[in-house]
Amino acid sequence: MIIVGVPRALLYYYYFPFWKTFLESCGAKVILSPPTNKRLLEKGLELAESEICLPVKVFLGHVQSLISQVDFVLVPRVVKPERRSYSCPKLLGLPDMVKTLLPSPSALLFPLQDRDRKKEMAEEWFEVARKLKGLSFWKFKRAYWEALKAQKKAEKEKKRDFYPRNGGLKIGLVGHPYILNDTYITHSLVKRLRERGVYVYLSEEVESSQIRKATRKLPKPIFWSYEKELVGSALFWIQNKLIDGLIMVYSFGCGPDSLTQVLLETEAFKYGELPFLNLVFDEHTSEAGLLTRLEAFLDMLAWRKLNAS
Amino acid sequence: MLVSSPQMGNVHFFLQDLFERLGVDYLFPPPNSRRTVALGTRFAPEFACFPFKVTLGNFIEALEAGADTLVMVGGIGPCRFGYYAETQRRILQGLGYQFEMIIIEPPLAHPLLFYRALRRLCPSLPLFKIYREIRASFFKAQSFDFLEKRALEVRPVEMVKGETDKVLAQVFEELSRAKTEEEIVEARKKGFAKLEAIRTKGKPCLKVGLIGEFYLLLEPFANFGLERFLNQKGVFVERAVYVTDWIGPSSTNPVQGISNEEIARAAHPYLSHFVGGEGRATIGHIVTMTQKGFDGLIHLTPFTCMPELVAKSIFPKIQSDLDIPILSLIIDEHTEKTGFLTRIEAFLDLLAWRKNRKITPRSTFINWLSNKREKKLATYGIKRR
Ligand code: SF4
Ligand code: SF4
Repeated sequence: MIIVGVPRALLYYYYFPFWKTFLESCGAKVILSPPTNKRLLEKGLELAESEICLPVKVFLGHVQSLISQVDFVLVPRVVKPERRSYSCPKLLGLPDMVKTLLPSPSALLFPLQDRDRKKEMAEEWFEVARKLKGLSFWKFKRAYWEALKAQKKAEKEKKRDFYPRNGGLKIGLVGHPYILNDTYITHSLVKRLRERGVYVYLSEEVESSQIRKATRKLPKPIFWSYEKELVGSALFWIQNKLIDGLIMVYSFGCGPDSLTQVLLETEAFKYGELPFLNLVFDEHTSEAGLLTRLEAFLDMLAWRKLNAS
Repeated sequence: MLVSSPQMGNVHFFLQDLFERLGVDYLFPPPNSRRTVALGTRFAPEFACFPFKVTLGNFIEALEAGADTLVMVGGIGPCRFGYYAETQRRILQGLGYQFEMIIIEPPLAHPLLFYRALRRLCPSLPLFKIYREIRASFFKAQSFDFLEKRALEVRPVEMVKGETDKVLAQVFEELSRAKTEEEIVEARKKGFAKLEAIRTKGKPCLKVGLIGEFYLLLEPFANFGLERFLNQKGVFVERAVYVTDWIGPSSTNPVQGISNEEIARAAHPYLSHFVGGEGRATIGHIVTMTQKGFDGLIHLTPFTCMPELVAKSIFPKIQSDLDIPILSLIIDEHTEKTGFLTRIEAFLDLLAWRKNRKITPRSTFINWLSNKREKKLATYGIKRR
């Protein structure tokens, strides 16, 4: 049986349902790298350029840990997750970066994911299926279609339709899923907030129709899909007054977020000077420092809320 | 309406000419200085790339000098450049400046936004006339680039130091005065003749390619006058980007002389997809310049530049394949001129040593041995740093 390794980092947090369904119907066994830990991170730091963003460093560590156990490593090249908007330049070049690492680059599967080039995308995934077992065309079509369906379903399940109007503090947490869901690099930020009784809203929970509505008024459309999702969800919370404060989480050296940060800051200011906290993570971020800043921010929010009522 | 723009290489020649033709008042952006950088750094987000900070500083200084309209180009990604203007507008507004920002989007991707920007700049001119003026102006800008490229070839071998610069300033002066197409052609011809007439001697001692992010390559302030510095040391320099190739609509790059397709093909074994900015071009140029027999390459990248980082991650592999020295330098607001130029000098020494070392049977054998060892290490997944 052919074993395909999927690094538990970066786009895993977006597209895993799709990949898993597809690979398994191709008859492959899918194994994941372990959750990020100290050893993986150190591997990644060793391999990557020092100024690159933390998620990519972590990703390279995951790839390295998989290489020896699997036949193939899956690193799709995600170009346009939505029509006419890109992912990030680093994600566009990810397979090429990984290729320089692997001892035998042919062990790399890098099919295209691009909404503007659907045909090419299907062809490249067909190529993958051929490499794995040789599916017939019809079987491939079915597997592909089912994988897309699984992806849609998984995305739908994440959506939230209930926003409590009163009760405790509500915080919008803006950040890429591959940072927020990685408990090692963020020191379990989400869990900690929730343990304190704070309602935490995540960007992935917001309906795409709401996001589209919220970003429509921007003078210039955002051309990064993931950033559009982040900014759109934040604007949705802000405009509907669903939150008491906004936290933006991003990695040191992240390109897109360094600019959208300004956008969110100004928008948050416009709508009743909403408190805004900026958390930048890198491999040296200490737990204590993070907690102090978080504590201060939460206190400030609670105080504001008390004053308002 | 007093329009201003950021400062980048020869762009202001082009803009000045264009706005004069369109009947718009244009304020020359105050030249870049340490103050520009300091201002930009102070108000820009910490992780914004270096060009963002400098252009923000440009805008602040232009507004201080009395401009009320700012012109900036937009883009459609995936690199950050396309979102500069919008972010800078927000920052400047937050600082309390009164101004209008006109963002010129690429006409093919956003025809409507492009049209609106044109209409705000010159509300009454008929469209075909605007088109004609842009074309003429573009032609002129291209002449500037061609002359500059020629000067790069002459300067390293000039007999009297500094003569090329003097002649070039004169030629540029004459060219800026030319208006109609015939005059431009005439001035260009004369310019070439003048550059040709500079007395030269010998051959350049080294051939070095300049690759990397376009702002750093084009703006002498940002790269500490690197081209001139190298030329004065007698080094021939080829630059990977020219202004008109970059803003021009065609993909053939008439000034540089190598089309985008060729670059992509050359880069394909190492980087098989475009990554925004100059990422793929950087890799492509490494391959083509190596084939052309360059002695070494200097790569300039702003701190945290995304496309260049992707390219840089591939350098170890490409270097071991092609056996070409590449010096990669990161530039940001803390870079010091002396330290920067010292590193360049050391690199030149290395190149000269490499060029002059003799190829003996012994050295060939040692090379062969070390290559073999590296390959063996690579099969175990170990990379020499
Ligand atoms: S979006 Fe930011 S964090 Fe994600 S890969 Fe790109 S630079 Fe890194
Ligand atoms: S090419 Fe690099 S420096 Fe230039 S805008 Fe893009 S990310 Fe910034």
